[in-house]
Amino acid sequence: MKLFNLKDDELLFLKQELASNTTMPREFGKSNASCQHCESVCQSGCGANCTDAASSHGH
Amino acid sequence: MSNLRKTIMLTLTEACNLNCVYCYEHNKTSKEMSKDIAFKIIEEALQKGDTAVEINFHGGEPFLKFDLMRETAEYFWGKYNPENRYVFFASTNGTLLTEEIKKWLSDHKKHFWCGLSFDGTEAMQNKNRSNSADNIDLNFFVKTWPKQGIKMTVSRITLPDIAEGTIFLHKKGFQVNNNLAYGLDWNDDACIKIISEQLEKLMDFYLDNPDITPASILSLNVEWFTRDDKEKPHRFCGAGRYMRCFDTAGKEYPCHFFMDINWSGKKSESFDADMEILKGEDCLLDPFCKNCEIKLVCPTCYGYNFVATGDPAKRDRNLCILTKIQAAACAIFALRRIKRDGKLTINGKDIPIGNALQGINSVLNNEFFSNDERLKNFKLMN
Repeated sequence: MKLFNLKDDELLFLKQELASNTTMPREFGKSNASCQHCESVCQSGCGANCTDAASSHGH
Repeated sequence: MSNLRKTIMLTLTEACNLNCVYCYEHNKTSKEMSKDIAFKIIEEALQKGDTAVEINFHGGEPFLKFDLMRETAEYFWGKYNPENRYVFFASTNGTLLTEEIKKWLSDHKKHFWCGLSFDGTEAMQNKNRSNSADNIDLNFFVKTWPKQGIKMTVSRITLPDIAEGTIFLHKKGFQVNNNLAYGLDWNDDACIKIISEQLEKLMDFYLDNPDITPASILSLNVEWFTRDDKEKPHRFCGAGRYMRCFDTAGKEYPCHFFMDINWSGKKSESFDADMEILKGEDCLLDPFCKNCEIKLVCPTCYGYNFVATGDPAKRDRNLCILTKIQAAACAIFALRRIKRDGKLTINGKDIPIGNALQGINSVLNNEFFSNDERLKNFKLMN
């Protein structure tokens, strides 16, 4: 069974763009964070609401 | 350590006035934290001189102890200027806010934030969270803290309505942080089909409404999808390092999942050693995940892993399948945005297109699913 309606023209676009775009060094860490005590993009659902509070308290 | 915010979480009470269908706190009691313990923990944290401290009131339901929250906040605001230094935060079900409490919160909204849990439409909220929708003033929360997202947990009974619930909350003005509840068995074909259909609907909504920030369930950073098994995963969560949690007696844990309120039975002999590991630098990669394309961004929860498997690193396999489907949806969604806009922004960050395309490509192949026995009947392309 196929999941999602991924179309052939979308896959063709991906293939073409992959050939014409180069990659850059990746930076992991704070610049990637949506949460300021988790280093990544936390979606753990632990209930602490820490991700929600990210970058919005003026720190 | 980088200069990330430090969070200290205080469990003010183990009691809660709701009984949500997915609640992981199976051993709630009437235990409460005393004022002396709360003051001591906060005093020590603030005396360390950190410049970004979040003091997080948790429960149970912390608004059962609103008087203590108010007294604590007002005491420390009088003693230490909170400006650019610390903030109070309460995770709440939102049902206990009287007009007097709302007034106090409005007056202090800059230095006291609330994060509301609300599970989609009112009907979804009522199914998951004890028929509580009528007791919650959504407008108060979005008006008081407009940048604060709302936490929407998805249970099996609300799974067929993820898109409708998320869109409902967006239309109320919220950013939406949605997640699949822990501790449930999601491993059947019906769940797989339903969540993929729901995420497809949600993608369509965001593509039609580009000014709305997509919910967290469609915001995995595709830049970090990779088939390269040499790249070392980052520590996913800051529990134990940037976050410390205290139970009602003042005992410290890396996060609230490790507290007795979540446990039944005897803790393993390695419990104390595991708590120390969480304070260190180990990335805690589950060997099972070594070759997984999404291991760098998979939202694993060390606390829940410990509750479910006895090992903070060992992933609860129940969520693997749906997380893979979520990743496939994020990849397709990212591809469609790049195709339409020529650029991609995730969580406010512009993603280099080449990196994003590499990540998308690592997931959008049928091997991503066929490597998992439970997903072998499903594919992403013809």
